[in-house]
Amino acid sequence: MHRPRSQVAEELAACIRCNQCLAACPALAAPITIETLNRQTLDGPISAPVMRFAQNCYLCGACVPVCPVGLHRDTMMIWLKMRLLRKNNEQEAYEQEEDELQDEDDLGPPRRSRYAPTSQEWSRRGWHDE
Amino acid sequence: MTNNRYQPHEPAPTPRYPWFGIRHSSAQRVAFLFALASGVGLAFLYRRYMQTNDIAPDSKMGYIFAIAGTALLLLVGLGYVIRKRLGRRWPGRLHTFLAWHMVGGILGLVLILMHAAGNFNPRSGTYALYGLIAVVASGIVGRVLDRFAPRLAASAALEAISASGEERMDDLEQELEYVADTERALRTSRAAREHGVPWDLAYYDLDPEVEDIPALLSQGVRSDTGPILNLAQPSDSHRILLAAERRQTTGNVMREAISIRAANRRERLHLQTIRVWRRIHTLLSLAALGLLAWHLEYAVTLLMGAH
Repeated sequence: MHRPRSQVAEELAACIRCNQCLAACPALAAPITIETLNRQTLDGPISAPVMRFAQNCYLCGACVPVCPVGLHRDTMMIWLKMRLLRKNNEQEAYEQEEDELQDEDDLGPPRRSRYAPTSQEWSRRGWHDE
Repeated sequence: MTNNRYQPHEPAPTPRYPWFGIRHSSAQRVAFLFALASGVGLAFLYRRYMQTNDIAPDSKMGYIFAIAGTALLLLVGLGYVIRKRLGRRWPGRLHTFLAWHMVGGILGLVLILMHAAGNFNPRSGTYALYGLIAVVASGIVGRVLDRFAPRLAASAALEAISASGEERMDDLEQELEYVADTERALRTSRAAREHGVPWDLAYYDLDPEVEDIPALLSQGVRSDTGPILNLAQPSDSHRILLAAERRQTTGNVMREAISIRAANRRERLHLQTIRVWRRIHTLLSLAALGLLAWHLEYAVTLLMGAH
């Protein structure tokens, strides 16, 4: 389960940087130092390797029993995932807004509605321009 | 020791967490290419095998497929488990072992299917084959769950966390406490109006606790000629408005609390799914190993009898 920011910050501060959690992780594909991971878990920009690691982590919990000080790296990873997800959602919302603005710019003159009768239709109905 | 490839001056990428299209690691790519090449080779071999006259699980080629498949399954199955549980100091990442575990499992099953060659008569062999199919299928389903369940769990967790990163439930509790305090103050003021407020200053606590101040203010300070300080004596209409506001606040808080509880439940469910499925995969692997041993015993008996 997730934990609030204050508790995650406490756990990060308690990390002794032994690297055991990363060594036991089956999702870690690229080399990342524990300092980098700790630094980017709560704040600041997320680097490409850390982002990929957060995307690939499947919260199996293999990092928890190996920690010599009993920290929960999985809850820290949930926090990193939440940060990523929040930024992802913000980015998507921003892009959607940009697209809508672009669409408004591209609209040009107002288009005829699909249901509006054409000039032939008006003629058929007996309506003639003066 | 690991080295950090990330340079501090490298611009941070746009944070993304897509459902699909996550970049695969080099270990996964190499394992996939190996599986593809092996698959093509095995398909070619099987075609040649089907053109011969001796197509049976106990033929020469059948035995070769059986031995190769069993050896591969044991190698990648036990190799990954031993590396994970015992061989933490072994060279190579666990991630690489996992990639080969997946690829080896699928290729091993293909080899065993080639060994069977459509012959499902011996009961022990058929059960062992079904067991292996179940293990590989559970592994594939597990990988799909590993892809989606953590994202769903994080998404649910995000709903339960406030913008400042604390539990939203705690904020709601505070809000409810405030509503309860207001309610208490109103009741006190109503009681004071009905029964009268004592004029004696000794009645009032001159060193009140902070949380008692709203209630004390609502009592007001009176002399025997009437109120001389009345900070919070709401009128009837004001009281009705306050009650309506209170009901609305309480309703909103309740609705929000229910949604947070549902998000917590969802998060727990997704996390449990990942772990339970892993146990199911392990149990199926053990069952398949038992069935394989049973079939090997059957095959050995058959061979001994033949000799």
